[in-house]
Amino acid sequence: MDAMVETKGLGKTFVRKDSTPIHAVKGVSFSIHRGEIFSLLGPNGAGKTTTISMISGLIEPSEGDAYIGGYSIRQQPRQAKQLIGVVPQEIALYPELTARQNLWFFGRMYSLRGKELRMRMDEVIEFMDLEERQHDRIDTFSGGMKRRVNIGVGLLNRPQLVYMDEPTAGVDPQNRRRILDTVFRLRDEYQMTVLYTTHLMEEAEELSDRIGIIDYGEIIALGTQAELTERIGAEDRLVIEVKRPSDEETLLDALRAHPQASKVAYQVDDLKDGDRRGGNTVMPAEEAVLTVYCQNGRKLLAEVLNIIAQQVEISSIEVRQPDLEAVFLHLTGRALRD
Amino acid sequence: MEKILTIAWKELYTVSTDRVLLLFMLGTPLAISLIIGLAFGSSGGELTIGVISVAIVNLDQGGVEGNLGETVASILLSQPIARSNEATCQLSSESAPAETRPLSDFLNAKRLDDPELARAGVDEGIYAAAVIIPADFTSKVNPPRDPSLLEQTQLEKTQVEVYGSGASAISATIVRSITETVIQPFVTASAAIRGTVQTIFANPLNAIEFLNADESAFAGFACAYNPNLGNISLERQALDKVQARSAFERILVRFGSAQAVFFSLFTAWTGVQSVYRDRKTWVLQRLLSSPTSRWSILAGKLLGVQWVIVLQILLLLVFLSIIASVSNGAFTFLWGNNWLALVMLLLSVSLAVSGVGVFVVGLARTPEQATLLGTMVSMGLALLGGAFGFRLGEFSKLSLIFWGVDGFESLSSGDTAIELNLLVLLIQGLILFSVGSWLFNRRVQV
Repeated sequence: MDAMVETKGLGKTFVRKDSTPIHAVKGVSFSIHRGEIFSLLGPNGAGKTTTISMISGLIEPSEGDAYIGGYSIRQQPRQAKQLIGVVPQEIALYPELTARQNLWFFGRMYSLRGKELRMRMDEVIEFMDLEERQHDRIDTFSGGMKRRVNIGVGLLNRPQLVYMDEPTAGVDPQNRRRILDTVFRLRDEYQMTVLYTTHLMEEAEELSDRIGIIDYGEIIALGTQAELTERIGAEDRLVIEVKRPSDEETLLDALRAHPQASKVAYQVDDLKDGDRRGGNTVMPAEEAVLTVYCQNGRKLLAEVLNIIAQQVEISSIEVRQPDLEAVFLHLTGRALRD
Repeated sequence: MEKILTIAWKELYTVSTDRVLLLFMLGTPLAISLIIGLAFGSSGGELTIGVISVAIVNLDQGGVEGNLGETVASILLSQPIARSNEATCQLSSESAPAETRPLSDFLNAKRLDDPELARAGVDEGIYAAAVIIPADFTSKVNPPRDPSLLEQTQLEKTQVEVYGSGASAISATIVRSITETVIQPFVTASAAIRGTVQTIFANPLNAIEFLNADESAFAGFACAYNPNLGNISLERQALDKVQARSAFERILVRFGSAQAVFFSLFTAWTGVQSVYRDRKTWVLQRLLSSPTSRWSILAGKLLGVQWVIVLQILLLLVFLSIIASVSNGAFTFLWGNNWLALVMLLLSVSLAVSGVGVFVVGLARTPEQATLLGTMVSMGLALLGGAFGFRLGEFSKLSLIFWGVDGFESLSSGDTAIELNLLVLLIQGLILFSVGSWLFNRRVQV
């Protein structure tokens, strides 16, 4: 299949003040097909942002290269950038300008002018349903409206590749639905390739044709959701919330010793939506979550509970079928929001 | 180039739509200049300043009609006017001046004999200014008796020196104004006498009678030098390059232009600093991910700031002229008539100011540091350059405000010899702009 994005040994090394090198991305190679929605998942610090920043030409790779529509981002950055539309997570607009003035300004940055620019602006305004507010200043818009303008600016140059970084962050369910539908329309009506990042697993599951999982600067899995769940053996998960045990290792050893438990994950953070946003909210240390992977969760449940209950108080228990989050947890040992 | 202009336009547009910012950029310096002008420029009420110490040195050797320098000195010293002739000058009720406050209310004048001593006193801060009347004052003010010489010579400029100190610039300006007011009738009367004599000699019979007249007949001319009788309106003559204007106008020129440059410094570094906001909101990243080079983005940003500064100073200069016009009741353009020189000075000042802005922001590691550093540098340059009403001697020349204000003052008085000002400002601007841009480019890495 024709590749819209192709990375070859793409790597980035930052150097600390004490001259210690930090390998943020380690020789990543993957490709994104034309006309597909590709989600890149990874916990904070995994190298996701650095990888995408290199692909979109924001930072210079230390090694390797990325090709956008066949153009090298290192050798032919102008041609490559001409094919990209960027929709940052932040509202990257000038609040003191109107929606239309913002579109005009960024359109000029793509060398659009005159009648063509006006036509593109009208097109985007209609596509994003902004007709009524196009002459209003951005700082008078609601969060959802700002998001729509933010996306609109990224589409102004009719990009072949649209990079969308958590475009639904902080928007209400109605606007979220609208944005997700927009992503589908970009692929289905305009045959655009979408590179999408999100913390919401259900969003990734709904949108993505293929998913790449990155951790510690390396792509550790890549494929469709079905391929990924199959890869981990389609195991069930027993998710048990407990009071934090005084002797964690003894409990974990006891669980790992069970012949039907393929893997045991242990977290001291909870997984409630939103608790970890911004990296500041810390789970009370008394709580912990144990995840036991096994082929038949319901059958193993009683035995696992028996082991745990001998050492620690159980708060809740849940049996989960295989999904993308399970894949992520299985591969990284961490939840996506970590 | 189109992208650079687009970014610059955006900067200009953003500023022009921000009312609060406009108030700070234009309203504040104008208000300060107007207040200072009204307080110290004797336009809009009585002077409210304290008594100004001034040294008076009369070196005038005098002439047939007496010692006119002594008359000037006596007025400034608030002493009775000594006359060396018998002529009696009658003041008619119509020509008597309205009730005014005596000069001693404003000046604490002290007579000295040595001009160097007087200047040293000014330098040491003992006097705000020294008025030095030259030895040939009477002979220059008086027209020659010989009609042939009268035809050959032009009305000579007075050479009274008002030696002021930058440390008390406003007081020195007021002394200049007072001195000019005292001397003006002499200049006017001199021209009147010259005109009278020329008229007499137009008729040969009158000329014969005039040449045969007794010496005492000419003593009557002394009345023309009475400051209270000078009612003939002639073009004013400058004592020095800044004395062609009223005190109010001079304060607007000096203090107003200083405020304009001072406030434009804030515009410079806050404008350049906005790139940090662009980075925080990801606008910068969005721009960098478009096919627009980093240097185009920087150039556009800096060009925009430059435009804003040029417009800010230009508008302030225009508004200051409007204030002077309203005060005078007639159109008064404060900045001379050499448009080319004015434009060049404006551009040079703007370049130097934006150079400071880029340098300050480039030097700082964070926006907070830039704010602190920018404020300190702006205040420091203002303090040195005289934006607070006083100068710090030769140290003032370290400030671009000094060179800018000095240039505007020169142009205002019709003196277009501002090459040195332009050179200093351009060199300062280019160096700071270049180094600042290099530093700044490093700071905006994403």
